Amino acid sequence: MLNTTNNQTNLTLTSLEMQQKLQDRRVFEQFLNKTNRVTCDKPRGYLVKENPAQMFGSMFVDIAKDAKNLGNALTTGKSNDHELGRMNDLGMKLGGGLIAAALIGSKATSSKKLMEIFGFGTFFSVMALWPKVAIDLPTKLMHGFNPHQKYVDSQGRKKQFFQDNQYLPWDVWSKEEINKVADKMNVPKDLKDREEFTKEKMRTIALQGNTLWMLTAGLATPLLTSLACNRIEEAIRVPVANHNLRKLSTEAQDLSGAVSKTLGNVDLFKAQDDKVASVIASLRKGVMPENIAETLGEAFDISRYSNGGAIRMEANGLKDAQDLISRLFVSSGSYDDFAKALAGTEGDDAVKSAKELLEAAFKSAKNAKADDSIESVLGFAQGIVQSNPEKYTGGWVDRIFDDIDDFPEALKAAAKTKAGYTDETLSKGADAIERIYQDSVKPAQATMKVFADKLKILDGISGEKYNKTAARMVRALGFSDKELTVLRNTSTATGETLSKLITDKIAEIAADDAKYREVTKKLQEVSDSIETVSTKNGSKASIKGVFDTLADKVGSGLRALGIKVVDESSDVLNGSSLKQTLEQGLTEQERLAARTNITSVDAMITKLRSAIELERKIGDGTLIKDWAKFAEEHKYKGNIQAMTKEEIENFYNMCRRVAWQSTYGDAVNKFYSDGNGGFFRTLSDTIFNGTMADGEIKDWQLRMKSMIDGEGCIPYPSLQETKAQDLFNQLRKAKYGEDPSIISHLTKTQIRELEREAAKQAGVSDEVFRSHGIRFADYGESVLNTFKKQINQMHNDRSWMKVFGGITVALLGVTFISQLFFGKVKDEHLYERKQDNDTFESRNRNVNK
Amino acid sequence: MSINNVGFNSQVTGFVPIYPVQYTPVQFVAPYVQAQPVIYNLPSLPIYTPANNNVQAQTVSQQPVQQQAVQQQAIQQQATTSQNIPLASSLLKSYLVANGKQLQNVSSVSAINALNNGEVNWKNNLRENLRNSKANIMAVIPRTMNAQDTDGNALIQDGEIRGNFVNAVGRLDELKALGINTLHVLPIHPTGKEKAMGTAGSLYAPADLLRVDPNLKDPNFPGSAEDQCKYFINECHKRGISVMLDLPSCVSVDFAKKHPELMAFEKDGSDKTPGGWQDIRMFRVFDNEATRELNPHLLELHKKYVDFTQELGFDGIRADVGRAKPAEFWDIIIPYSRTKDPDFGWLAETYTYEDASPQLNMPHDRPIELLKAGFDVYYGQYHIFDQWTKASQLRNYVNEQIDMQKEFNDKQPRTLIGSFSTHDDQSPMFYGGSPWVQFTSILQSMLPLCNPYFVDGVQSGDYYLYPYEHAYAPETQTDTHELVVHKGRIDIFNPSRKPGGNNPEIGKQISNMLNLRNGEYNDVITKGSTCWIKPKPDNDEIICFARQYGNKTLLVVGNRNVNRRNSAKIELQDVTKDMQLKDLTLPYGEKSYVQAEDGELNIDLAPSRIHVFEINAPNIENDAFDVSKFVNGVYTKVK
Repeated sequence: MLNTTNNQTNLTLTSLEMQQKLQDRRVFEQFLNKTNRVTCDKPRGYLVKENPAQMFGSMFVDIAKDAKNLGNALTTGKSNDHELGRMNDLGMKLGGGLIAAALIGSKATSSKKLMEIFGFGTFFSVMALWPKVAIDLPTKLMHGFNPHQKYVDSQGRKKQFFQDNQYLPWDVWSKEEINKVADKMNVPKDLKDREEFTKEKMRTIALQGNTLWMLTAGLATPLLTSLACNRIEEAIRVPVANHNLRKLSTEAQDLSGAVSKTLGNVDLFKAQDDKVASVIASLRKGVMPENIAETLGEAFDISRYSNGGAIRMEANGLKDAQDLISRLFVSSGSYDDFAKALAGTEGDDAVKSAKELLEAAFKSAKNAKADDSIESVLGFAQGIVQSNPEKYTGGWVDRIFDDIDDFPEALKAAAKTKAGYTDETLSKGADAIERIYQDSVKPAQATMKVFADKLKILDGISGEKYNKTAARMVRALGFSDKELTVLRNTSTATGETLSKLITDKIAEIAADDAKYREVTKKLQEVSDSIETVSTKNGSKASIKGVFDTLADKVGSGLRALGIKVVDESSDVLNGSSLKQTLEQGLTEQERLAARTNITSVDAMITKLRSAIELERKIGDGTLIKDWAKFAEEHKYKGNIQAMTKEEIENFYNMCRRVAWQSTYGDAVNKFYSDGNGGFFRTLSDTIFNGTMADGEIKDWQLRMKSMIDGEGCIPYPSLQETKAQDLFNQLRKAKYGEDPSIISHLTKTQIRELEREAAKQAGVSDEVFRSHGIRFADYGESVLNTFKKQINQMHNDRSWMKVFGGITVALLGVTFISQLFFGKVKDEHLYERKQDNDTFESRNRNVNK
Repeated sequence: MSINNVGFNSQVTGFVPIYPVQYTPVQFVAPYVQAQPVIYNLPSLPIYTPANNNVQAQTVSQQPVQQQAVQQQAIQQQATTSQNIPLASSLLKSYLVANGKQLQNVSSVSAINALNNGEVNWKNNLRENLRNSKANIMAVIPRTMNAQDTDGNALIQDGEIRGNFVNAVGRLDELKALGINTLHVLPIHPTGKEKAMGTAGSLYAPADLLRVDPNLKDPNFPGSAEDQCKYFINECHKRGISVMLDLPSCVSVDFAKKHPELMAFEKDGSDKTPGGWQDIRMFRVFDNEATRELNPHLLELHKKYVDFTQELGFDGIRADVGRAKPAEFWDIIIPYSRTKDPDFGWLAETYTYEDASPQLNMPHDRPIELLKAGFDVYYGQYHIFDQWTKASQLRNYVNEQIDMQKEFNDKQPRTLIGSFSTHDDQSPMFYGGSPWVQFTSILQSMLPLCNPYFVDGVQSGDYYLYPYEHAYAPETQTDTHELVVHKGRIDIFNPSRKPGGNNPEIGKQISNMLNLRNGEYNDVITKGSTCWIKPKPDNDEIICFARQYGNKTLLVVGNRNVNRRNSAKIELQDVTKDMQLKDLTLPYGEKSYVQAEDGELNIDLAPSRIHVFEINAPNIENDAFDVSKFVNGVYTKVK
């Protein structure tokens, strides 16, 4: 027998002993040969082999199991290590979900809300995908097995096979599978312990893979999540906005459901319900509550509807109550109330006279240093009336003298209550208040709330679409990445230089007809795509269209409630006046959204188009010619022909500033504060009144003119001088008669028909009748600023992508390359090759090698 | 594991167990309660001598004072009073010790007389007993079984008499009286010296598997250690007690050095050692694991071991860490053993199915494979019963064993031992004291497919606390002077005292139950059906099942909560208001209350209290929701 000890090979047995051993061997054989009677049972566990779809499905099953285990743990206080370990994952997902949910609440727009979900989902997806793509896949390709291979243990629990490197249930791998891995790893076929060696190699690689995963996941997960989310956000923004617009377009057709739902929101109305209820309860007890006007005013949120007296409520069949309420709302002093009480229904003049009389009487009482009780005041009043009977006439005067014996008591009561109503009147008033509140005020408020909510959504849609559009607009001008970088770097220096670069670009476009047409077309496409989307039924939905529909529906909703929305001067129930009026019912913030955003998302493009047109006019000399003509007509500048080249250049720059480099507001302020309002007016006329033949161009000019002349978004007054408006009025008169108030009875459709016809006859787009934005005029920013922001944004996006994308690629590379060096087994040299003379005896383990 | 983790306080509730009067906590002041740092640095260890009792080992710190007090009171009594030999006056003892004589007690003297009484007519029936749940087993350690610790310091030294085969005979009548009919004799081989644990060496670190430890020979009597071992076995057989020998799974370092052809090595040539046990080395089981070719040398050794065991007269073998060798290995060795003795019994130390072994270098555990290879009985999982807080967990486990019966085609049952405590486990006294030990003793006496199993000392409430824990001993047989002790577990490392505690009532209870098993209720318990009954309202702390055979029915009702009473109603259609209930258990702990009504029993069970009522309930299977019984020779779940 051979025995190797301390590198010395010794024969430890004599030949006789070896004979004996061989004899023994034969004795053993009878036992050895029957080893097949009992074999190892098949393992109860098994390797999980799933395709990606199954894996995806299993993920949800596993989460459900985890949730169940968590439930058990919480209710019974019992859990095992495996379940606890997995609860960590569940906790992360739950926690992440809760954070996402909380963040969703704080986001204004759908796409941002959606991004919270995508962000949450992406984070966990990346966390799951990174090891699969960066580690499992290369390892599988290089070494033939998945280091994150899962198996189901004998208890039915799914685990990662290599999770605990000291606890590997190798049974679940078949010999064939191990051999396949060994072949892939190029483990020599003649290795004695090939299987054992392969397992050890797999164990080592899995351990190294797990370590690499731990080292890289912390960096890779946030990086890839950011990169992915950046792309996802870009991709979903406009589709989501369009989806919302379509949805809102449908919803706007019928707001009744939304109004009912809002009315059902007890919490929303609780505060004012309580106020109204307290007033009504008090009135029913015969007591006029203190500060009833203020209380009801607050409860009815009346300021919304009576702003500047623009809206009055005229509920049919509720005249008394309306009267009472209107008195309550306007009551501000006792003499008003007295006067009204005395005057009854005799009209405003009587109230006025009564008030004068009472004030004079009070003054007299004061002067006489008499007491200012009602009797005393009325005594003086009687004296005044008697001294000037011609002035004081009417039933109300008689009422003072006819009922002089008992009227003072009523007036006493009136003095106390400020209105002088009897219990019965108060009770009727209470009924009326309740009825008005429930039937009109509350539904009206709900309607307005719905309106405001929808406008908020519309504003969000507009913002989303604009955000995407601004970058497209910059791109439409044809800036290359290199130019953008130059612009970006320049923009951090001085605005002037940036202005020059952009001006040069615009001039370049304007000078080249082909480019001009191309850019114009692109901008038109951008403009078209901003607002209008196709709906399922083939019709178009637009931001402005949805706004108009909403306004119509809200207006008709309010009318149906018996609330007449009136203008100070005339009843206008349709069109922009309605919008204006409704806007008065909005809060400042809501109004801003409605006016500046929703109706004006394309104003930026308008300005850009104007800038190009301006450069065209500068380029072909039209501008200076027009200016000469206007200057001559307005006697403004003497001999324009005498302008030096420098002056002309300054003039061009001035035009550019007005047209697009600054805001309209800036220009107005500058010129008007300089006392050159006339100059500005003339200048703007020169810039925007064109000699250009192209109808489309004229349309753009018209838009800009209306914007400047009308100081924003009030189209009708600003267009009164225009041909289109004149034609509109002529058509209206021809079709519906001379009465200007007829317009209040026209439907939106009827008005639109008139507008289209007028526009057609005037040779302009019917867009002239639409309100156009002031976002970039009164409220907004200049083209220059927009460019600055967009260029910065685009540059940052690119730089960011470059830096972080680079890091990600590098990380991926390092991760891949590292794996090439995996699998070095400790004491690898100790695994022996099979020898030709491999015999029973030589198989005895040699020790101390 | 600290005492605190598995002792009194291991219940989830954290309540302190409530004990009967005799356990009322007392103010306890004992020298070894004081927290002293554990010193492992040998030169600085306190030298342990009889005159130096105050240095007695470690504290049981971190336990609630009340628990410590209860525990320590028992421990103090155990450590100071129970080991005295009554007849030895100090003068006589001094004289005899000084003259190198050993003290013998009366039982030993009578045993000596019987030493040459010759063979008895013994027919081995161990295998049949094991398979038919008829073995009542006690694990004993000859080295300590009847050791005579005259000075009460728990360590056998300075001329005190160690346990040996001759004086062990003196305890057989006691065990017989307990109802024990099978001994599991822990390893009896000479122990290794190198890298040993304890001054006598671990029983599981044999230096020679084919010899009996000479220290187990009584020098005052004729014959070799082997002869005396045969004598001991003979005496067991005389009393109708079968004897199983414990086969160590590994060997000492000394052995490994002598027999490299048997041993397993790491790739770097170092010895393969099972995780956590540095004093032993592993066998090389396979010549080629890939082709499952066994190591013939190892087979040869085990064949000789079987020969050796049978030659000594043992009736069976308990295989330590059964999974250390594969089924194929046992499939050779076990049938080999039965070529000479078809009734040779085999007990596997194997617990439950494992996907992989958590212990370094150790194969995973697969009980069914081992049972298929020839083992008759195995350990199972009752040793974690104290972690099963619900009755349903017990029922599920029993059902698991019943389901397993289908795996075997020979229609012979495979059974468990009642491993509620083994020599590897901490004394069950820590969990719930005497009531809990009585609870588990009664329970395992009533479970189907179960052979009751006890570790020597449990029958009188031994906490297995040794005051010399980790102390320095001047005398040693090994290369260490450290008195290694696994706290709360029976000492297998040192020459220690005879096992035993201060709760003789446990032994009475065991005796009562085992004699019931051996007597008129044998058929009910070993052949009867098992009917699980759900208490109302459903209370998963109440264990309720019935065993029925013929016209006999035993109803077992127990509260597994050691702290709290539990009440419930048990609906049994045969119960009548005037039915007389006969409780077969001896009273212990707090009182329970039972009231019979027509069709139901109302029970209010005291903590850790379990009762066995013999009732007349022929229709009890109808009341049960889960019934198992022998069907065509196989124990099968029928409902």
